[in-house]
Amino acid sequence: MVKEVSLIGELQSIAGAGLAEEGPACTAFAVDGLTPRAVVRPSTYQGVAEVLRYGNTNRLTVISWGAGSMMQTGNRPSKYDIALSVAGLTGIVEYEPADLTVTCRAGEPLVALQEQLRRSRQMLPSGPFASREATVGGIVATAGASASRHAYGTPRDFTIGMQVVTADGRITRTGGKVVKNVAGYDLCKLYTGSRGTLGVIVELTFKLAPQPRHEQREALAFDDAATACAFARELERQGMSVKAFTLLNRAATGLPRGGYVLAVDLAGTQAAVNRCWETLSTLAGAAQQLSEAEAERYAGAEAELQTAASVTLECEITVLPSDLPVLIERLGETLEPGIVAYPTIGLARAFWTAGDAEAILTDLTAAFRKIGGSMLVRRCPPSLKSRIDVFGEVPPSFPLMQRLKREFDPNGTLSPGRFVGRL
Amino acid sequence: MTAAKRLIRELQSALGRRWVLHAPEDLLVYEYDATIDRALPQAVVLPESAQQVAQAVRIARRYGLPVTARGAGTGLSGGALACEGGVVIVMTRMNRVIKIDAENQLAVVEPGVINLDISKAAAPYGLYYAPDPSSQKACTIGGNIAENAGGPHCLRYGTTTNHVLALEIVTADGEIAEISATQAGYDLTGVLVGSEGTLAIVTKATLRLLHKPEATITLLAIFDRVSEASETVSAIISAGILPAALEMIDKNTMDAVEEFAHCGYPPDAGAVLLIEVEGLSEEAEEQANEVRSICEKFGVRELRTGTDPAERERLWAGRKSALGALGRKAPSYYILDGVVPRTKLPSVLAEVYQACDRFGFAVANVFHAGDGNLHPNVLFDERVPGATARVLELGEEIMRLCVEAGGSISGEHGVGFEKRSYMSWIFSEDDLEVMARLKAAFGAGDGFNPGKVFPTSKGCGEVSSHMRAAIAKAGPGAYV
Ligand SMILES: Cc1cc2nc3c(=O)[nH]c(=O)nc-3n(C[C@H](O)[C@H](O)[C@H](O)COP(=O)(O)OP(=O)(O)OC[C@H]3O[C@@H](n4cnc5c(N)ncnc54)[C@H](O)[C@@H]3O)c2cc1C
Repeated sequence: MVKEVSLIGELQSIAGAGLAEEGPACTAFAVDGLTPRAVVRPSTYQGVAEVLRYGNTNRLTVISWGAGSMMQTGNRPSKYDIALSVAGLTGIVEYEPADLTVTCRAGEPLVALQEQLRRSRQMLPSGPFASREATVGGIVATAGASASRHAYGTPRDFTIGMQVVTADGRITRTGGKVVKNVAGYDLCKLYTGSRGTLGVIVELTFKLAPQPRHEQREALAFDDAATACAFARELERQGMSVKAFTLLNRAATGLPRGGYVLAVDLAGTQAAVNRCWETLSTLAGAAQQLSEAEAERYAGAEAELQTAASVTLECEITVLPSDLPVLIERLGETLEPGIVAYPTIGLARAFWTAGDAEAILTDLTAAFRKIGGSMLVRRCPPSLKSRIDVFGEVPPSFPLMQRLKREFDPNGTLSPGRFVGRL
Repeated sequence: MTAAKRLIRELQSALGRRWVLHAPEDLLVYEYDATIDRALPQAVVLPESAQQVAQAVRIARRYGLPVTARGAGTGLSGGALACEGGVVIVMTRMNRVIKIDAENQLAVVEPGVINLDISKAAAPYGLYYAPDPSSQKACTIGGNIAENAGGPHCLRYGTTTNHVLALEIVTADGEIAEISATQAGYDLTGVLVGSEGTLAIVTKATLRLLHKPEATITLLAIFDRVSEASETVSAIISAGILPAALEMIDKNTMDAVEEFAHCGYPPDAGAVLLIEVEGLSEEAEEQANEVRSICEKFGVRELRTGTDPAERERLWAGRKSALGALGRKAPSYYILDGVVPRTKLPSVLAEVYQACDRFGFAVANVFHAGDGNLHPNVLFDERVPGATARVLELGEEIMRLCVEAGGSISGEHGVGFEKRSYMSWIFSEDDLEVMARLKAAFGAGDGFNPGKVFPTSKGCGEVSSHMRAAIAKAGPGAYV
């Protein structure tokens, strides 16, 4: 009892009375059925550092939160004392459009940042993501990839600097504010996608991209995945100005019948987009080109699936692009989930609303061994998490990863148990 | 038998007599890279496989000797110097392109493969490897990975780190490990790139290949003043154009080049910009037109355009022959590498000229302007007593200018031995301590490339000038 009081009292004295809570407020910060003892929302980097130092010294574990839109992904925490929300750390710190870079705090929602950048006809080449609240810190911490990865890469490609608070409460910098920089180890890469297990990101510097002058969405219907994938790769081979290719199966389009829809986001100068449209129409062959209205309808399909409450199992699978058609076919055999795939990347996301999740995963894992690649279970029934590692089999370099975790977080303060191999 | 002899014996039995060098005259070749310093190793080995690399690492470790990997030795920060002696592992025999997977746009290569050879192997499939350090005819992909090398076209396509997908490495305990940027878990590949040979030795790399663009247009824009040229750089980026390359040559460079390559630069011009735009032909043309009108707005006095390979090559000739030309202007030159935010280019360049004036050295700037990546080349005569020390002092001052402008101490050449004492200008003790944790996780300690990247008080060999030799090695087309 005495200890409970001192925890919240301590956190309130660090962050300010209104910024640390216990009791009912903690329910919203539950992870896989575990509710923290307290939630704290520091308003400064120093506050984040003090919370971590306090937790680390007192053997209390801390899970960091952005908007929480990705929290269902991860293994079950082995222990969960404090929810540390950086959602209050918002705002742009530095933005000079002619430098084509921006520095902002980690809790800044991507949507809000994009709005600011749009005024200078620039953008962070990331997203859109299903959640409008998703913070830039969360997107980087989960290495969130969207369809535009085809043209712009993932957060590892455009994050050039960070401020990160370490488990023992030091505010540290890595990278810088210039687009080209090789001074010191590139720890940005390490923190990107580490899901809060090595440090808490509080500030980020990004390399930006100019807004495409013109964008146009096209969609085509194909009978089979292989033809659709080959079509996408041919457009790429011919150097077409495409921002994203998104392949949807019947279950994902919600159509009563038919095969696959390939959405193609053209982006570039008007003349280039026109030329791409012509090439696309010529190459389409037997594939049916859908109307503009229909094409628009599929724009939100992936986000809908990602937020659908009816989805009980969601997997993200990465294979070589050439193996994608086989993978999609194989996925379809497991109770026909909704499938959204990026053909030029070799990434597929599958969404099941029915069936026994464990049986599906066992089946897939076996199929998967033959194809090769990596699989992440993004959503599944919490009860299943005691039996599976949502990150799949540990990679061969896992011993190195264990050593890294030990070096960066020797007390196991940061999101313990949540990452690959329950790190 | 002495320990030194036993070491050689063991290395010989692991790699074969022929591939272990230990005679002083053989070692000399490996005591320098393209920088000012040098250091002599105890032995040099040339393995042909990852297994041999692992064996050599284990042997060196048993003798308590550090290991330094070496590619072509074109590095410009002393990275490949065996600062604390030990064994140098030269990767140049492991130079095979193992596989080009055209369908998945991948190349799997050994670390000693020369950068340009990857694009040559990919060319039949219409593919190429984008990062193009100016030393690409000589430098190895292993060296590129260690330094996170850049090049003129990294403005649009990103540096080495954006193109390395997976690696095979030999760790400090002599184990072979596979790491991949697409696998679950921490991005070990990402931190390995740019780690300057201090964490592990790369023995195989999987690289991303790109399709060759349909059209490339090169523009050469001549300005009266450097300030106009550098303002044009900012204006192009602000206008939402990301050229494939955006390079600048200043007056001193033009003068040197003109005597030598006859590019037709007007004698009273102040700076030249080389701007390359790429993509579908429609897009390239539209962008070229926009770039032209921006140049005009900033008072360009002459614009030349190249669309076919021969014309474009002619426009690049001055840029590419700059180093060779500078070599004729002075007995020695010192190549600096710093970065500033693009908008700070005009002011920092002005300060660089002032600093060089104050020190009494001529400077020629040839650089990746679009990225804000400066390369001042300080001309000097090393035979003049004290000149080298003064040049190093000037270099330090120029680095400070970059840092004060919000930039960094290296854009592409690395920290190496040369710049490790500047690390504390941009990183706190805590920042450096966290980097040391990464090194500890790799178990590298001082086993790999000691005396690099991190500030220490130890020195490295002696100071002399070998830049010429390394540049000669980079081939006749070498340029920075
Ligand atoms: C004329 C000239 C122009 C240049 N232009 C550019 C340019 O445009 N852009 C640019 O970025 N650089 C440039 N450089 C610098 C240099 O060419 C690059 O840094 C290059 O990447 C070094 O490659 P290398 O094979 O010569 O490596 P080395 O100089 O042999 O070694 C460099 C570093 O890499 C490490 N290393 C080498 N192989 C391995 C391996 N297999 N595993 C682990 N570590 C390894 C070494 O230990 C060392 O730390 C230029 C140099 C010259 C001389």
